[in-house]
Amino acid sequence: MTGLRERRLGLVIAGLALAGLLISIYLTLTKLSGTLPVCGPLGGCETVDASQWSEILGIPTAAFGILYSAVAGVLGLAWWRNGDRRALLAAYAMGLAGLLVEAFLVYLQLFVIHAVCVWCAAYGATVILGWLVVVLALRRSPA
Amino acid sequence: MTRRTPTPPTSRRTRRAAQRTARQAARERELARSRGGWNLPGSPLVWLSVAGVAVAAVIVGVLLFVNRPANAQAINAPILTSPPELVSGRTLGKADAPVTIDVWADFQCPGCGQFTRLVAPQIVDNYVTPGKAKIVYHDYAFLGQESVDAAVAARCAEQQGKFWAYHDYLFANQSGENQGAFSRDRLLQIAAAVDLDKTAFTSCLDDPATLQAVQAETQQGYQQGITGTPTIYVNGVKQDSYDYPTVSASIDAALGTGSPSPSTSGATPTPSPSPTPAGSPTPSGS
Repeated sequence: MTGLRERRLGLVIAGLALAGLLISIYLTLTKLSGTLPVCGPLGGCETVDASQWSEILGIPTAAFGILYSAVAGVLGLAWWRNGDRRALLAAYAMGLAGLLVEAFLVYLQLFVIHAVCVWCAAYGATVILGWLVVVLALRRSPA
Repeated sequence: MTRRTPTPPTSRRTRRAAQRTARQAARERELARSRGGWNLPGSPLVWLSVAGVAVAAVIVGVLLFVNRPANAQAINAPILTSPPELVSGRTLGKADAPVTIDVWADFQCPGCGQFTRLVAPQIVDNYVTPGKAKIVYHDYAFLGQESVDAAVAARCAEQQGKFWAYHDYLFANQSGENQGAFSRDRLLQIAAAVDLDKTAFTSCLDDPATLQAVQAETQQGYQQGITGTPTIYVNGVKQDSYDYPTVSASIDAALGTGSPSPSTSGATPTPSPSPTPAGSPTPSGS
């Protein structure tokens, strides 16, 4: 049984997921209301938000982020509370998929849309860091 | 008789080597244990990694498919079409209709697409067909090359009396901005779909005068204060919004009826009759 100390990483996973959840909710709401996200001096949100990639079959792309982050958060909490390694393994697989999709989205922003949205980048950071923490937690918890 | 020895390694050196090997194996076992799930293969991590990569590949595949270039997509036929008996150049409706609705639009603008698909059909049913109003289309091609190309193509369709049919097709085939939805190939395909003479259409596309006409009208719209599309004028009065309640209330006011039309959903205040912008009232289309 893994100790509570190791399982604290579950809280880190859940915290990153919560940050991702808030960002994706914000981006989804702005998309649905037809307003533009507050972008700061960097710009780029407008271009990314207006691009065809900001929707998938009429659903805002960010809405999928809400689903992803919610599940990641639940898995992180499950690991922290119960030490159930299956939660960690599920988070690993999901995180790997999320990481690769995120890499594709970054590619789109850099080379297809030619604009980087700072909110999307921040969301991507929560996905990548979340997955790295899952990997760390797996290494610390013996099978 | 010879004596048999069942355990051959007896020398001290051999025993030490065996102990060393055993210690090393134990160390490796310990190391693997301390690594958690990393003693591959047989670990669920292998399968989970494969599953993760596969899921990502499917998601990226779906993304690429739904966003494939418009060129690869078939031409959509419009769901609602403008009534051909009311068509006259870029005007839709009877010439003596008391109310004129000037629509300034860009064929790539999503709001113009919404107006054409959702609002204009109601206006046509309730006001244009009964002879109360006529719609005049104006170019405000400001969203890039394909906006200009589409506007040029629609004017070429007008030369063959098919402006509105072509207009309906363009709005039914919007897909992003300047991403190939209105490439020359697609514009020719739409021309074929509305049954235009290809030779005349192509030579019109290449005629610099058509392009100049689009640019001149866009410039005119800019000079009269249009900053976005669609911009709607009802008898020269600029509308605050392009939704049906707003526009129909203005038409009713212009007609002097004041009563909402049958399909008005929700009351929206009539825009106060503000002074018309410089250059208004807008001229009728060609």
